[in-house]
Amino acid sequence: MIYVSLLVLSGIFVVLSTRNALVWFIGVELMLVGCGLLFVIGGNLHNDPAKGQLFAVFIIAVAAAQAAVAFALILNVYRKYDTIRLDKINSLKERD
Amino acid sequence: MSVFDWLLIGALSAASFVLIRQRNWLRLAFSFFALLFLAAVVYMRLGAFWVGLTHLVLYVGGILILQLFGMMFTQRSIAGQTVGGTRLLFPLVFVSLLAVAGFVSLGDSLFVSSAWLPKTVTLFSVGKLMMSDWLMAFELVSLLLLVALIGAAHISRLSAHSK
Repeated sequence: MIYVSLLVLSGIFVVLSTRNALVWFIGVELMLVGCGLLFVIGGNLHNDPAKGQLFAVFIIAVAAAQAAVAFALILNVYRKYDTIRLDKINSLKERD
Repeated sequence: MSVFDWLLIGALSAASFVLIRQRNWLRLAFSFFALLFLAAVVYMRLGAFWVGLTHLVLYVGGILILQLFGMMFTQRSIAGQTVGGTRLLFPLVFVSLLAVAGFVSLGDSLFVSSAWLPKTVTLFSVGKLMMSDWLMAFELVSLLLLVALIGAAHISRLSAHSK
């Protein structure tokens, strides 16, 4: 459990303390890795390890999907705003 | 907990600390890689050997490479992009409170020993579960991945077209 705590808390700290979209994304990934580990631990504790591992794989697949969309969005934002600093991007409307 | 577990916790803490104190992309990428690699080791320690391998292939081979490309495409320096001074106080306090709450509520379960005993799970049993009881969830996740990949390609194509 302490592994999971370390990963999730690091992820939360990174998400809260950064202004860069890519670094922010690393924080979210860390939290997802922690959640996957938690499923495996839960499966082992409840004597159903196969189910825990199955859900860990589902989480990995969701993380991969999230990564693909997030990077496409970040690159798109960079092309339009010339920055990926989250405090500089304050409008959803396309710039003229 | 064995010496190996404590060493693993030490390595995870060190990698997390370096990641949190990020000042340049290279150090950030290496610490992220170290964290992902250590997470794969933890999966294997839990008896989920093939999940660890999948994690390593997908995260290190896919997501980390995407991350590196993102870093190269966007900018070279992240210096000054972390909050500092009093604005750092909120994340610090929030994470500390969460850590204390977790420690109080979990107590000795934090160092739970039964979870570390590797259970014998064959790939066959997981595959059987995936193709029977959880077939719908498996199909939905596959569909989500497919839609996400097509969507990502579409978003990139739209921006190239608008240029």
